[in-house]
Amino acid sequence: MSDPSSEPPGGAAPGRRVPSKGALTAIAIAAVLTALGVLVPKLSSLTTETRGFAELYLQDTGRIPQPLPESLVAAARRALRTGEAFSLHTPTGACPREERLYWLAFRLMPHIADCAAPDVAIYWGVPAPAGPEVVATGRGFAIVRP
Amino acid sequence: MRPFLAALVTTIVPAIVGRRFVLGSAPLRWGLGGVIGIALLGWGTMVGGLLGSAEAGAAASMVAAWFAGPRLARAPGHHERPPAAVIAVVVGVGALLLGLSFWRPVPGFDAWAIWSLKAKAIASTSDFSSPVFSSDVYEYSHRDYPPLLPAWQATAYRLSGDLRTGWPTQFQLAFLWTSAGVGIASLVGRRRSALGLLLVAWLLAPKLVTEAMSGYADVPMALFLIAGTAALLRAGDLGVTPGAILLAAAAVTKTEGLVFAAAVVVAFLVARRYRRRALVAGAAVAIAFAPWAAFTVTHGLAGDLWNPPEGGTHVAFDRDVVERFPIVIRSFASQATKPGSWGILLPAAVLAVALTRFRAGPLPAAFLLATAGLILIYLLTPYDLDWHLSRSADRVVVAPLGLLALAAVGTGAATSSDDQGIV
Repeated sequence: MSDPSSEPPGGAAPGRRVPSKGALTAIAIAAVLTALGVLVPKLSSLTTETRGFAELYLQDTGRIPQPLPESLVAAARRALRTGEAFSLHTPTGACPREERLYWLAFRLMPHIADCAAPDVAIYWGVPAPAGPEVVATGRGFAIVRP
Repeated sequence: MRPFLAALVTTIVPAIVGRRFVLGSAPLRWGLGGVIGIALLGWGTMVGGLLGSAEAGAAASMVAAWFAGPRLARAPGHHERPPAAVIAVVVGVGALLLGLSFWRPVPGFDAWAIWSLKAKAIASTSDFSSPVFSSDVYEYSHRDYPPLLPAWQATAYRLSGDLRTGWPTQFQLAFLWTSAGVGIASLVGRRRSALGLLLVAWLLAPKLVTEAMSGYADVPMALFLIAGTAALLRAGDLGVTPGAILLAAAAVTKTEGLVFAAAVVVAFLVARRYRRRALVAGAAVAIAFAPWAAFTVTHGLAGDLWNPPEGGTHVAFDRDVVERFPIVIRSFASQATKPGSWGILLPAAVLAVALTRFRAGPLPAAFLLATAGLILIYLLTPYDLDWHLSRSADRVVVAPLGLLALAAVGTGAATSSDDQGIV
């Protein structure tokens, strides 16, 4: 293959003045220095955010505040056996397509959300139906085996 | 200890392997090579997962790359060292990101609702059999999105043996930014156009750096795309392989990545002198994307444009296309000119292009095609336009701004009296 990279991709249009190299260099350096200038406070914010994660012992997700209590996650993990699926029921409905479901689905992996045939049903903010075995309860939630 | 080893193994090993695809200065080999290795590991894991074993795919990709690299690497015509000050700044920022990553869980909504969720799914089964990729419950996880990033992150989850500790994936992202940064800065070179610094300004833009640690796929895709496009331009020096691999990786990292990679390939195809390398890159993109395309077709996973989520609260084709156009343009322009996000990158790039002798070439064409493709996506979005723009416009401009910076660099190089070539 020939070496086309040695040829400029946008050739010189005739009849236009070439600006001094200094002007272009100044533009480029100004762009870098401005980027660095605004980057420093953002890096500081990133550091502060990270310190916040560490202080709250967040290791899995960095959602603050958490959409569901950590006690619910821990209880659900204890209730779920290998290969079992769960469902989440909130005032919005069963397995609502909202942040709480996806956050919990992430936290409870490898357990899968399955609203059609859950092994464990998690009720948050709504009462669990009478009848199924209650395996765990906590502030605002109940976990049952349908 | 295992998460620590997982973080190191899934970054250092691909960097060592990818380094064999690049000859030249050490920063170029380690930087560009690191990104190439990560791309190959992610793709190999993805294909292995699609065939039934992500681990086998990961191992096979690294072994194959180890032997193929030296055969495909091409000695550059000159061994130009990149500017030491630029490399020092990039490595300094990268070191900070890497240091912070040890205390960072998966932070952003899309990170744990889409990308890292899929990484855990692949890690838990070693393939794509998880309902995350098939059940309607997960339709908001965008099951059709290309999964190179989750596949790569899955290797960290899998090796660590711990699905509840997210920091190794943050380490991976910080490593990717650092490698790509060193690679791109090395491609800029020292004696070439000073406008190469515009790419560095893009790389150091606060929006790009912070998004790099969000866990979203936008920045990884943009890094693959820009490093790949720059490498493709230097194919005469480096051979066509690095550029082709990285453009292919961009296409398999995010849906927009496919659009942008296609834009670059088409723009290069039109320029006769770049046609051969464009054909190779186009073939690489097609080959890389084909396994995922086959999976989505056989599993009926249509994208939102064709199959909006059922009952979604924000699904509403609320305005006609003509009415949407100025809204989309205004939104993108507003994001791209935010000083707190991009400094003065956009005005500087536009000024540079205006000041230099400009003639249409593949880089401006790639930028315009990519931007047009992006605009089209928003013209056709089934979601409430304002809602969709408010949640994504700031991120989706990352890659096109990189192409604009690259176009400005190319224009400057083309008009500079003592600089030949691009970046």
